[in-house]
Amino acid sequence: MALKPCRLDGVAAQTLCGTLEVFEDRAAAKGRKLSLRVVVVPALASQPKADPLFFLAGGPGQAASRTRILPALERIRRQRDIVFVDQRGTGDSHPLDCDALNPSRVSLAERFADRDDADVLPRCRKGWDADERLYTTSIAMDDLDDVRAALGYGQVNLWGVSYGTRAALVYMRQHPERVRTAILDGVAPMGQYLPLYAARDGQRALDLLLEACAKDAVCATAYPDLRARTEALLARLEASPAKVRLPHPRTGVTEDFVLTRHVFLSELFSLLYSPEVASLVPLMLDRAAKDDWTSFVALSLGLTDEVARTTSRGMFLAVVCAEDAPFFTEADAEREAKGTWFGPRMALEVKKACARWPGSTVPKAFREPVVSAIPTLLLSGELDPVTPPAWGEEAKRTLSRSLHVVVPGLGHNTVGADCARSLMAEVLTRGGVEGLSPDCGKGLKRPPFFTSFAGPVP
Amino acid sequence: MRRLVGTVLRKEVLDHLRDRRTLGSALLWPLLGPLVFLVMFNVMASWYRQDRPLEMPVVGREHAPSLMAFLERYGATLSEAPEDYEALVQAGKLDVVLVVPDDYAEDFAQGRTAAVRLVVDSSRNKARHSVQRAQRMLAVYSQQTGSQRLFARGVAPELAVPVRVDELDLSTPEKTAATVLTTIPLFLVMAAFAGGMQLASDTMAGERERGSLEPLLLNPAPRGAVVAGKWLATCAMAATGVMLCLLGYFLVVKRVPLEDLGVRARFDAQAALGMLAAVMPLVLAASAVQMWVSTYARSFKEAQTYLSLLMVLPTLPGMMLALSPIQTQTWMFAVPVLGQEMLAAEVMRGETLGPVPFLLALLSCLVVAALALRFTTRLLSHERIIFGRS
Repeated sequence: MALKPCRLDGVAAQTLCGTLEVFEDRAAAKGRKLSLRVVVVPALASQPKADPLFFLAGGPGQAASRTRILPALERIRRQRDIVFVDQRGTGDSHPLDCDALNPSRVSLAERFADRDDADVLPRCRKGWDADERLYTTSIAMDDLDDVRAALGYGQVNLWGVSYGTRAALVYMRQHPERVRTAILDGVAPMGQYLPLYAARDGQRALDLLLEACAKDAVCATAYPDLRARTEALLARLEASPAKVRLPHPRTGVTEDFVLTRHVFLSELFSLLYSPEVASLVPLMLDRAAKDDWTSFVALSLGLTDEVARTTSRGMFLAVVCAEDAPFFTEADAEREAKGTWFGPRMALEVKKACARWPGSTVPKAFREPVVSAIPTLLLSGELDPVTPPAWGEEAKRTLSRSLHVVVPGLGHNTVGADCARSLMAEVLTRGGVEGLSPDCGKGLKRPPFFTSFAGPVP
Repeated sequence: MRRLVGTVLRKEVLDHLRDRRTLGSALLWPLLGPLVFLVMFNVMASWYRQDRPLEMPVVGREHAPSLMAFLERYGATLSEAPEDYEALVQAGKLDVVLVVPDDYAEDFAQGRTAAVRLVVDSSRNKARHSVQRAQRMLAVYSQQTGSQRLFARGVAPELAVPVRVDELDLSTPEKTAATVLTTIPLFLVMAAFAGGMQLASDTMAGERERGSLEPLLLNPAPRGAVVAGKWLATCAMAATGVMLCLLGYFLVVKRVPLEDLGVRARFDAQAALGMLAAVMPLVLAASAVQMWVSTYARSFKEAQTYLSLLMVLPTLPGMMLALSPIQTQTWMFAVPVLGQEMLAAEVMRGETLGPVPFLLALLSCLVVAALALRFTTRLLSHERIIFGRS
């Protein structure tokens, strides 16, 4: 593969870019071709290690080359090339993008509209020059192995984040001899179906947050009875959606929109991914209970832009409709969401959208746990609303040479913590997890809650 | 004629290979650069290695618990600052100390900009990395808290950042390395001078002092042949010096963790050949000038003094460049010494130069060598030179 110097948005370091052509239909090996975008950040050492680090992005649908995670890999980059490959259907690799699915909207009314993906899907599908059945993880991981071979690497190290951990597990199963070590951060094992368990796992994160506030003297004083008042708020929204009138956080122009319980909850869910953002949630809930939606709107808008920039929503459906939705029923969704505020709607919506998706197949036993002896570091954030530590434990059961580290006070993905980065670098240096410290950030706590407009306690 | 030159060359080389002292200084000098490089950069890399946690003593931790929690989360190890922290920072015992004043909490809670102080000694290179990390962490905290304050009030934080400056750094890691590695061309050029220094002073001034120059010139051999033979012998020693120096660097660069300094040295076989092609012509010029100077000198001692002064010459372009950074221009390659240092640096930066600069550098060196040899030959026909001046 010919690599040419190129620039990555937000990355000052010199990078090399190339493309690799693969058949969309790998099995038939004919017909439409996709060109995969490949970005290599060369190691600094004059004699780099032969095995690079391959980054597998989340989503599904996130473009590896658009995530700005390189600064976190500074230590690893000294010795090893870092390779970003936009998985087929994402980024610059034949993306399954569609404006109608994209939540980044101009007006607040559109942005917070309560709508189903299923309604806009037919329009989106018409715009894609693609056979959506062929954008699954197994196929993409065979692509990835082609990239590895084209770049001339014998073995690679994998770093999967969120959905990328599923991708990494699949790669470990399909090309075990090619993997030296794997790092799975925010583990989504084969037993986890998207988004079947989201309501349950999200509720756990929310409960942890409300408990932490209730236990914290300052937070409890500033926002008394937060749980009860939030429940009352949700009941009110259930009865009738809120009519909101406020200035747009960016333009300052006053707008009107209607906010339903469902939209409020799904935005709240997104706010739990990062504890830094979540530190504003008690304040936001307190305001919202008083019918003041300003912080809620600003926070929600703040999150979506980045997601929209890096993620192809159509690709999310391509993976989920092939690999997740067929494996659970509406009844499963009702059962798993029982007793949660979030309810089964997220899972049911996906079921509905996937009903109109062309039927794709996954390899037999795709959903069996991945059994492997490849040295694997599993990382979980204690407060993660989507891949909480329990999923890491589950994946660990069939990975014989693995270490699971739960980082306290962190949410979805742990690379923000210095000790997690040290662990990652250590695994790569040692080529194994034996002798690694199982504690990371002992004594770390979630960032303090905002208890006034000025911030937390100083 | 060629036979005569060959005879002189052989005799001089053999003579000096037997002389331990000449050999020792000719060979040790070129290895000095690589040695300094090995030690210096290993020490520097150990300062910059990020793997250790940032140790930061704090005065007034109790005033800012949230800030302290943030710093610990991002990998700082905090401790209580000792009483005499200012003296300790000055003495280099502490890299950086954070001081949280008494009014921090009140200012913060009121929504005013609260001030903290970083106590540093900016003249200490060793502390620079820790200081930068501390500054970065505090900046992230400030920016993050600022954004959160705006979110809480329903304002998009982007409004407070109208323009974002993305730097497009066109330097490659190799180019950054070249600025770190400027000592390599310097020492290579110095090796070209150092390698032949002993031989040049001994074959001319030394021989005269011992009285063996006169019988040599009484032989029915043209003076040009004698000079050429001695010159070639000097060149051989100088060339050996350059190659030793280069070989030394070649071995040493792989043993220095330059990646910890965030740079990459391009020091493969191709780069080494390029540097050899850049510096070798200087051997001809330097040896010829050294011969001329030592012929002119009254005694062996005087010759050595002059030649040592001549050794300072290679450091001048470097100093000039450091004081007033000038843009590379083609004619500069034609200035001996300066041209070689620039060429070697460019090769190391991974620039593709084409043959012109190399030819220019070679030609200018040949001219200097020819002139110096001519002067030397002419000097040898003066009686007062052969018999010594007084």
